[in-house]
Amino acid sequence: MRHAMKKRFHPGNLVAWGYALLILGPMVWILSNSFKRQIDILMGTSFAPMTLVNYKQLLFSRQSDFLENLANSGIVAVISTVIVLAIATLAAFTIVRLQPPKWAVWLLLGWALVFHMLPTLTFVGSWYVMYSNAGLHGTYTALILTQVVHNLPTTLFLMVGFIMAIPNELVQAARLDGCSYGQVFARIVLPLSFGGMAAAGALAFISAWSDFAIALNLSSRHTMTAPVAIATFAQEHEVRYGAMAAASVVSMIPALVLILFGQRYVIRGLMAGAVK
Amino acid sequence: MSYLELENVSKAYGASVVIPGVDLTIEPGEFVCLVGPSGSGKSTLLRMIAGLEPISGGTIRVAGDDISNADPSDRDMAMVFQSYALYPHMSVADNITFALRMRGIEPAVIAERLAQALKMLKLEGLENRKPKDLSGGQRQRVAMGRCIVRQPKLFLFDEPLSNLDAKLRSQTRHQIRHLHDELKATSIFVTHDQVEAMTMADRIALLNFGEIQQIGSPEELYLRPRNRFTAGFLGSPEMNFFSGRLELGAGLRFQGPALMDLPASEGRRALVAARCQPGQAVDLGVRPEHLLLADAETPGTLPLKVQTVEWLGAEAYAFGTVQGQEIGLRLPSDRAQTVTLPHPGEVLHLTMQPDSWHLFDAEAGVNLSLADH
Repeated sequence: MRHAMKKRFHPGNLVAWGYALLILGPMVWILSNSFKRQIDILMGTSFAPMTLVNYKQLLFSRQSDFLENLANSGIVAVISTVIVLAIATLAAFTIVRLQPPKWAVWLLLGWALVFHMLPTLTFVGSWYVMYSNAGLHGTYTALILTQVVHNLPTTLFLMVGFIMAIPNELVQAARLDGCSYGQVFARIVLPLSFGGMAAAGALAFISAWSDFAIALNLSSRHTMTAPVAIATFAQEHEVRYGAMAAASVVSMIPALVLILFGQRYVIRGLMAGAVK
Repeated sequence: MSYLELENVSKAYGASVVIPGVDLTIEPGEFVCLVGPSGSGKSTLLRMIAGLEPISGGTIRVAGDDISNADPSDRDMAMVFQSYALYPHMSVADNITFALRMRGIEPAVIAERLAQALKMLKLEGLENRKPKDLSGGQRQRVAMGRCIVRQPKLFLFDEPLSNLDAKLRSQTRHQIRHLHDELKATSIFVTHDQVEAMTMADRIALLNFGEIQQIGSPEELYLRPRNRFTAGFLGSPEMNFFSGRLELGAGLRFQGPALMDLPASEGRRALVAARCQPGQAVDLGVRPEHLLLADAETPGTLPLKVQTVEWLGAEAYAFGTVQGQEIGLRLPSDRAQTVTLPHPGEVLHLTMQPDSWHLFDAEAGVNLSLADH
């Protein structure tokens, strides 16, 4: 009994609930707005009659390109995630198990850290000029390459952690069993890092999916992604709050689905190495 | 079956030399244990033989071929790791046959060898399980199976029993030795456990600070240790040591904690007399089972005040301290195998079995009572 009481009033729970409220509050607000008419949103009515007009306009109206924008987001996020995972996993295996010179590792990981610390907007201007000169501005290639560069540092750090958690003795046993390092990677390390790859991949995907700064500057009308499209709902004379809310809800769905299905792997992956 | 030759094989990490230079030859079909305290370089030496650790100098030859710089995947050696290093994502059968599949051996041959290994190691019925669903002993056997099916030139064992509980460890010890007798594979077994080494090895190589202190059969190392380190390392409870001076007179006597007689045969006395100076500083070493109880206090016996008594069922030991050093002796049992246990505080008077004591040079630690030095 005492134990239960103690548990109920644990101050940590309060913090957790507060934190959940902080995240869930705006989401509930957006969700409720997406089912309201523009006039109710502007009047600040809490309980307004429910309408699906925002969703109908967003998804089925002829003036709306939102489905195309979603597809663009999907293309950029999926392809960049696949490339990032491939590079990061191979690089992490090389760093952790092939004993490259220490200075090279420090240089690489140091660069990754510094790159990750600087705000994305710092680079966007240079990328814009580079892609324009190369004739790639507004293409999927430009968006995908930039997402790869942007997400590589985090993914690399995560994958280094995961691959370090695979005991070196397994690599050595495979070497004695007749594997080259390439075979060790393909037969032993890769199958054992699927969990970690799922975790790192989910994070990279979400980052690319929800990116705004890069897509705003490097996409064209044809390659515009969902977050940029959502921003266009706020125009000079009118902010289409209802459409914005509905678009936000729709664009949240893939990430939510991914998390729901991948949660097990993500959590296990992110905890690997931290807890034996 | 292959033989292994190490010629002046050395290892250094920068300026710190771990193995100054080891010469060792292992005959075909021999089971050699590398024993030593932690940090003695035994595991490093094994990993250098396997190719997992580059050597800093010297030559490693297997069946006459120089493999000093060969890739581990080309050395055709199989190793049982301390952690077993089973591939967690593969079934028992896949684990065992992995090396064969990597070498592109015919599926029919693989299946046959797998069946043989499973039978030999009593793993039948477990072939589809993953390592996480196996007990410690089963995992250990799978690791063995992985080596057996390959029929490699050399078997390497890196403390493979240290993760097993005491009972399973002694069973597995017998199993490994039994397997070795069946397969006659040249094997190197690294352990810090002297019991494992004594019970399994054809020959023991005792290492300390990367140098082989002595190599020979278990009996040789136990009964004729070449130096004080070997004498002290093997045996449990360990050998008793006393510091003092040697007196050469009509009989051999040792002036240590007390004036003690050194009962010796004519040959032994002559040997010691030839190798030692009167009054020379020496360490006397006697194993607990070579100390005898004297009926009464007579000149030349060592008084020991008993502090603790250990009764182990089949045998019993008494311990006490003489001049700050713990001394142990095995208590004699009578014909009915019963031991009369002394009480703590009781004083026992000790003598030695003839010729079973050793004299070590006080500085170099060399055994002065052995002929072959």
